[in-house]
Amino acid sequence: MKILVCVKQVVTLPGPVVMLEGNSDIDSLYSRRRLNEWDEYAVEEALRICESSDGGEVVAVTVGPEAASEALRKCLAMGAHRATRIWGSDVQPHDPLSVARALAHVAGSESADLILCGVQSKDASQQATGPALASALGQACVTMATDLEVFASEGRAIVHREASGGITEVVEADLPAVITVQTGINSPRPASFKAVMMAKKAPISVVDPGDAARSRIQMLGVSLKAATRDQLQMIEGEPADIAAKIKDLVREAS
Amino acid sequence: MAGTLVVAQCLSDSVDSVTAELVTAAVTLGEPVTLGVMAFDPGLVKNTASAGIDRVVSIRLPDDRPGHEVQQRAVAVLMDITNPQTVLMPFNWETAAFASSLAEGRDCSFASDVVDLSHDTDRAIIAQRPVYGGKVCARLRLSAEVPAILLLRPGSWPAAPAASQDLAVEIADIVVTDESRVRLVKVVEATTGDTDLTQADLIFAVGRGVGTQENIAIFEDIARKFGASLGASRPVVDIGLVPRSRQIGQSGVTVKPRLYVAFGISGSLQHMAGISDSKTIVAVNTDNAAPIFETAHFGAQVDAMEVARCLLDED
Repeated sequence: MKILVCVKQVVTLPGPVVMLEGNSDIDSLYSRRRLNEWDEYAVEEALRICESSDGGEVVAVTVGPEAASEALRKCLAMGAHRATRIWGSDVQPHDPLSVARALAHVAGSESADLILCGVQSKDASQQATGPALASALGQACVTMATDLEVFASEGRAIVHREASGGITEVVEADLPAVITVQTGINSPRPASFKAVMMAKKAPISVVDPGDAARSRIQMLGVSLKAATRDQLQMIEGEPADIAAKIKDLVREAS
Repeated sequence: MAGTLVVAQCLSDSVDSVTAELVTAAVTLGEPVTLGVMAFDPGLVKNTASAGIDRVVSIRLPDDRPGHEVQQRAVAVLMDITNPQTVLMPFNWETAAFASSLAEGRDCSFASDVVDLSHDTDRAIIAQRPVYGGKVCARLRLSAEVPAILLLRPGSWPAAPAASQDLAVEIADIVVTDESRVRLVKVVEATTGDTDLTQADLIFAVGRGVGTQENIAIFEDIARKFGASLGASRPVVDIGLVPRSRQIGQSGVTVKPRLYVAFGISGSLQHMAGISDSKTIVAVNTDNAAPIFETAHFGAQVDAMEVARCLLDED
């Protein structure tokens, strides 16, 4: 059983937003980076599937510049066997089709039995890379998995999909397939100190997808989201004052 | 290749109410607008007329709960018939399952969770979408060389008014097959658990900012004291601190209380979808830039636990 897991090093903004000159993008000096939360669950799921069958291989793949290697090292520390980083001048990270085609460039030659992605990335939230990757590979896709059972010898998987309103769809999918994993599907394992140190030294192969990842999208710039806080009334004062106001509102509503 | 196709999902005999918002967005693009209706029985669908629509084309679905491969095929047929420059659909869990796949397969350009649309002088689409956790909007230019498939965030455009008269509905003479590599086995309905949040008038909800099991126990006491129901956002449910039946949001329950007080909830798009019908929303959060403040009526930038301790104090 060979499972490919597609991951992303996401950008988070812990403090106030600082832009680059000309507002071309945010200033990365004031941002932090980490392995996308959804992808952490996808890695854990891949490791569990391999452990519960007769072994196998988990390959972590990402699309991103050198700094994105950190996400792959986290996957290796969790237990992934190999890692590949894909990057090139034609990749447009704001275009999920460009990213999906870059991933397909590597996934095509890996011939995995199953590909797992997170449902979405925390910083872009398009929910688009998984289905687009499935299309590029000509495979089936199942999104929003909250439970996954693989029957490799029968070439099928049973997937619980989270629909809206607390409803769950149970579907059967033909393999190979791309499945996007929802948070909460499992409890991602912490990496041991030793594994983290080993992962620091592990080799990571780098692939340039060339014009396979060419994009029709141009990122023009960023702006602070327009303030839509017309109705917002801030409650000022000490915590006790805020609690008092909440108590008033509760009385009014009761 | 010209014009804008608005794709409408249907719930039995009516189009999804978000469709009228998409029509408003389509009208701003200044090209003829076609409404493409996907329905199990197009003859039954009534409210297809919004002001600004020039043409209505319906396509018959082979199933009343069509899978995403079937829906993808249906939209592809609508695109074949209307040859649009731009395709607009709502951004939800159903469209997200296939729209980027459709765009990849037909070599279109794609963006989702779009909140603003315009043209540049070359007729290329300029789409704005929130990035980096919703604090910033990116401006993307989608080349006019190929059609663009865009998923729009619900609630971002006002609904178009109803049209003064109905348009004739053309029903496509093409049968969409129900073959799929992903087959529905069964649908499991939500479990309501020990409480029905959908009927609650007063809800206190906790999120990641509240954090630990110990702190959540304090909010259980507070909820009991005030006669409120306790809800939660997804992250605290995922790590097992609160049962799934208390999860509020798109994938959990949708609530409509008279008062909703959110403690340590930043307000993801998915969470806000579940609380937007609340009469009054209060947000308590340390992060002044948290998206929940955009929808809240009252806000306080403070640590939720400091307020919690005061709420437990006797008056």
